[in-house]
Amino acid sequence: MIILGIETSCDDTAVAVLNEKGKILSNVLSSQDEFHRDFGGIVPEIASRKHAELIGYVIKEALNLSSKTLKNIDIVSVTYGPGLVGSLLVGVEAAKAISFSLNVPLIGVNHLEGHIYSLFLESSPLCQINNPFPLLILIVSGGHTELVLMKKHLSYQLIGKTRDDAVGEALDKFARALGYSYPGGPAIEKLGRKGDPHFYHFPRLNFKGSPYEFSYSGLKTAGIYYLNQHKNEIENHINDIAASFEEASTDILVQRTLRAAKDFNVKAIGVVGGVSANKRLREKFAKKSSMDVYFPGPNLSTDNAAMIAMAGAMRYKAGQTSDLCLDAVSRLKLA
Amino acid sequence: MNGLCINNAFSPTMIVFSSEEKLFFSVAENPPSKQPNNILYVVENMMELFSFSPKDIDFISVVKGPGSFTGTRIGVVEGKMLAFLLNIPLVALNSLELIASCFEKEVVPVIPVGRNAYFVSRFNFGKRIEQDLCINLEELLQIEATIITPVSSLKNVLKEKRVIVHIPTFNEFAKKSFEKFTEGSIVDDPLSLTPTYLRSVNLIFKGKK
Ligand SMILES: [Zn+2]
Repeated sequence: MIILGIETSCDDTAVAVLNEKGKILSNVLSSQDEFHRDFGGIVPEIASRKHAELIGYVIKEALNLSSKTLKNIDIVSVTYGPGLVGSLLVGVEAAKAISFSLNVPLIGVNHLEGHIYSLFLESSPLCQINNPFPLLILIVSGGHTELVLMKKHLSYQLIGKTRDDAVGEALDKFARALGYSYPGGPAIEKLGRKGDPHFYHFPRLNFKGSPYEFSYSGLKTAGIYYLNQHKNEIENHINDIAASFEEASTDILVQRTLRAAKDFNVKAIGVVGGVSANKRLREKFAKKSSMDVYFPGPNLSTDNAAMIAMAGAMRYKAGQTSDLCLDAVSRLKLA
Repeated sequence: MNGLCINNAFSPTMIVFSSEEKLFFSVAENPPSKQPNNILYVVENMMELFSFSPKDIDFISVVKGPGSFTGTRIGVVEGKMLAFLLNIPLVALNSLELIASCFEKEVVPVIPVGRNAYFVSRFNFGKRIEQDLCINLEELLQIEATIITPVSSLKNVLKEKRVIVHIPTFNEFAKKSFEKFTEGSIVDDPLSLTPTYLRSVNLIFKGKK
């Protein structure tokens, strides 16, 4: 069984080819970063124009690299939300055209479900474990900061999320205030590696009675306020400031996740989404967690289509397919 | 030879499946607010109803704009993907040319697009005599020649002008598609087709700021 996955929920046009074991045969991603950089963030109309321009070629390239042809495709899986509706629609329409023309099942996948299933690709150690449930998932990216409990495959219970900004968003905005262009997360990480994380103590807000909730708007504001108040320090201590901000951001994530893992008595923890690539976050989990913490393999933390194909394969096995009415849903919920 | 013709650039959405002699089925949709992206669902069901399969499609014709950004994009992505996947020729129609092709005289086809913006062009007996432009109302009011538009509300805006409201019929849509196909106006590489937007993102972005 060959699965073609398509992901166009934000600014990357991504297509992957997977086999039934979850082995990645190809995983192609065309980044639009350069087109959005001038605007300091993603411009939805640019994103959908680029997707419409690239989608066919990225599909062709993914097939070529996997040494498969259109005839080999057995299932087509596509992200239908959450995300930018104009971007999602391009992937959804392309997938529907494949389903119609090749007469293969179409499966609509939630983007966050895709991130979760990046942990179950063949290369990942989590799929070597017979029954990892209950499994606690921390989803961290530019758009999401959520804790999700999985008692079995394809079943999700939301137990906590951010009240305002996502962690990736806070990192992006802070990087921008430091003079680094979009996307800012990797810039903070790079600077922070050479800095002292205890140089300055940024606030780590806790909510009484809501131990699994996050807030990053306060941290972001505190960060930008600090920069405005300490303009002279920025030049000499930019690495220390970045490290301190990263330290606060990741502390909050680890603290909430380990608390939830204990309270819900889970067997393991999975951390997914763009920010899960952050080295400091990975080190901190390794140091502080008494149970196994799993992360996506190299290059599978950020948006990609292999994870969408994997989630689609799981849904197909569970008998859940979509019809050609499938619509893009920008605020699609996981649970 | 059977052509599947799709218009999603301006309202109504039109789907026509036709040979040169006979129109097999046609559907027009004018959804109130929702994104009209159930075209392939309709195509699949109509083909099944009339005992056709995707193999019976010999070429695709799609309206590539100018028109609604999202609508055009959906139509173009569907059109080019179908042509690529089924390995058949792709014909791309300009929306203003399609509207003008219904009239045997000099006409100015107009598609209104949101706040004070109009896509216009000029054709004489279906032959293009001016490039497509995006203009404002003031400029539109200065145009001499019969204005043709698929949008009836434009009549109220241009009270003094000679305005004919006309939506291409299914037959006119199919005829224009076959004409392009027969004369060999085929997109070299279907995957390269992009919508004709006329308005750059930089302009839209600055306007919003
Ligand atoms: Zn993502």
